[in-house]
Amino acid sequence: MESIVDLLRYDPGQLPASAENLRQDVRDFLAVEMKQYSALTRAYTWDGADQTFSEKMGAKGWLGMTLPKEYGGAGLSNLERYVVAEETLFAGAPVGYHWIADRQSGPLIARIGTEKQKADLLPRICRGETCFSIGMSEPNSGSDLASLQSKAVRTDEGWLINGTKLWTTNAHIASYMIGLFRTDLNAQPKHAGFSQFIIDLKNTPGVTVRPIEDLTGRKHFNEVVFENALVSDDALLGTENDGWRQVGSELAIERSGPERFLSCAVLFVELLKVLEQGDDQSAKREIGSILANLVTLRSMSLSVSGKLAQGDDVSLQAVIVKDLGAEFEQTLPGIVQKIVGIEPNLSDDAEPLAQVLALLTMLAPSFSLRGGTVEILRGIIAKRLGIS
Amino acid sequence: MSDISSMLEDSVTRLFRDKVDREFLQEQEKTGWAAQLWELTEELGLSSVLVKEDNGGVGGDWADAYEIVKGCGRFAVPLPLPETIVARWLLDQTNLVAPEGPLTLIPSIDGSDAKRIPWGRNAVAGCTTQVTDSGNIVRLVDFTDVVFTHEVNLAKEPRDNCSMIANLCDGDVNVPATASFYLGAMIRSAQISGVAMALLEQATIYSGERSQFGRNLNKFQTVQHNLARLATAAASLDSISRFAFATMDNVGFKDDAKTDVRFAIAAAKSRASECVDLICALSHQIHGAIGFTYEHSLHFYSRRAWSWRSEFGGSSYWANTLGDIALGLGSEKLWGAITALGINETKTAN
Ligand SMILES: Cc1cc2nc3c(=O)[nH]c(=O)nc-3n(C[C@H](O)[C@H](O)[C@H](O)COP(=O)(O)OP(=O)(O)OC[C@H]3O[C@@H](n4cnc5c(N)ncnc54)[C@H](O)[C@@H]3O)c2cc1C
Repeated sequence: MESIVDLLRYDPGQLPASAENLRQDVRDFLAVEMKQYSALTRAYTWDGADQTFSEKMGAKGWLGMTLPKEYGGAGLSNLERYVVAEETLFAGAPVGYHWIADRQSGPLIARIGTEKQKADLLPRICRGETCFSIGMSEPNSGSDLASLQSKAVRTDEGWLINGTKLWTTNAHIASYMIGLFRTDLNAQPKHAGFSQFIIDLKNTPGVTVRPIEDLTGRKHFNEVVFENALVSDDALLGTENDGWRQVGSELAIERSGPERFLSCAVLFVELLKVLEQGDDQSAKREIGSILANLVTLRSMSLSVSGKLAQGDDVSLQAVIVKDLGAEFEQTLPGIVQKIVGIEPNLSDDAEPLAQVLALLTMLAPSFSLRGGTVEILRGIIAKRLGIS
Repeated sequence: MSDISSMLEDSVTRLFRDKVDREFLQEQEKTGWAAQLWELTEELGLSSVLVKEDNGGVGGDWADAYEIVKGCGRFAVPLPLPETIVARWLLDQTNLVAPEGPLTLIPSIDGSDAKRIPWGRNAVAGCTTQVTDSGNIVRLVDFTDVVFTHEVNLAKEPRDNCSMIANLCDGDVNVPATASFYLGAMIRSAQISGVAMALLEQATIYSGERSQFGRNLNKFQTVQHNLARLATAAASLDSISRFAFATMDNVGFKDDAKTDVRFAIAAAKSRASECVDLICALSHQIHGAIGFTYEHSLHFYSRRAWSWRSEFGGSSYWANTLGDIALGLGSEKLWGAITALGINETKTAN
């Protein structure tokens, strides 16, 4: 039983004082850059993509910070990246164009990619000019990822890919997808036969990207169809048939970052702006309770980041952050409505708070779906605690 | 984790796991003071963890103290050990000499009346911080001749009332007048985090033993999800309470309640108090009727949590306090205050 206590231990992830100089630089940069964006645009945070903005971040040296210097990175720890990530999210910067590449594709390629893949891709990720997407889900495989059907077959010319990926965020603007495909059709257990590929979405014949409108009316995720799409041997990422394990190692980073509780930060800030003008005593308690949640989630996320920087296994602690973060973000729009009693309203002349509330009310259902549904996460938590 | 921390965690866990079991807690509830257990904690020097080595203490920091205080919650330790740790730290900040034996914190004094003093009848003295014309003080009240009206909390822990007029001594101190109340809230949040862990541990074991419909309870997905929610709540309480203790080390009390450790403490106690409902409900649900009996040990944890959540300010008190902090800082300064918490000035980049 000692192990449960250890598994659930969140040592404070302490930022070195030097990271605070970096923070100030990022704040100064954002103070200028963010002037042009409305509250509604800021509310998209990592759902909003703006290549120009990403390239400016790249020029500052704030993308791929943990990557080796020889590939354009800064060779810094995950904690420095954390500072940049949370500052941009809190400001509501449109970080979507570089987010996936900076957060997981870059580090993954750096860890298991070939020399050629690293030399080709990492410098471009660090410059903010390349958008990546993640192709895992398919029409018949959501939570049950091990059932996925798209396959890559080895031929004399390379790998021949067939199948359909679904819900692929940003595939319509991305240069690349890192996709998970079946490479051993007879493997047992099922998940033993997967491999990851880096697919050039813009220049591969047989690849069709179709944007899918989401319930807010914007195009964000896609259907990506592969019809005899031929990719070269160089496209294989990591080891053949080791894709399942490779994907697993990405998830810890994907699940515990500050985006798991700061996607709604703009809403909280707009709420404060309205309340600090009035004298609504009854709102104070709700504000305090939101803030307590936020500070708690940050302490957890930062703790995981500190452990990642030390190279510890944080898969369980990361899932917990995502689960609690999703719950927090998902309930926030409802709480805000209760406090201020305004109608969510997307029209151009509506108050900023009403606009932001409108957007996040509609985005909220996705928080407990993307990156693993809350039901699946809780199953993982139970399993990791030795329950089942 | 520092060496002191892991050493303390080990010895605290060993001591309390050995001594504080169900029979002990049942017996102790009837007879009152666990004198022997107190002596054992004194032999380990636990109550002096924060006292400087020059003054005969362990010279540990708040992160070390956290392990002990959390352990007191996790094992439902029926002693004012957390209170004594804080009292000894407060006295160590003054020129007052700390008496030997168990101490306590006086939550509030109204005229000469003090109410709901934890373990008042068992403590040799109590401490509180106050403001005077000439500055802030730690007030040390000798309990030798004090007559207490006995009251208890839901877990039958003494929460006594008294009038104290004599036997005071005051020492000047450089902490806010509300420091003892804040630190009281901080130890309760750590104790609740310990209870959360105990509730989870018990539910995990029980669900692996009890069988219905031909399967152990932990094979049912709904039960697994309830355990997972209990685990996430326990994890979050560990994180925020630990964070508050670490902020005590890194930032401590400064001039502004909005930007010093008080921000972190308000967040910790607000979350801890708020989560009590959930953690108790989930663990009791998983235990079924057996967990509702006096015979079973579960209630030693849940009854403590149900009281501790209101002691030294409940969730609405602390949420209000935090709301004041948020609105006081305003949308422009709030984020800066959040990120400045817990920065360790002495650490440099690695
Ligand atoms: C905005 C958004 C962006 C996304 N971006 C990407 C992306 O970039 N790349 C990508 O690959 N995918 C992406 N996804 C897909 C996402 O990963 C899936 O939605 C998710 O894995 C769930 O799959 P599903 O939607 O098919 O639901 P299903 O798996 O069909 O599940 C439906 C419901 O049943 C529940 N359920 C399923 N199985 C179980 C079980 N065993 N026990 C209990 N309950 C269960 C689920 O929890 C859920 O509530 C995105 C999704 C969204 C909403």
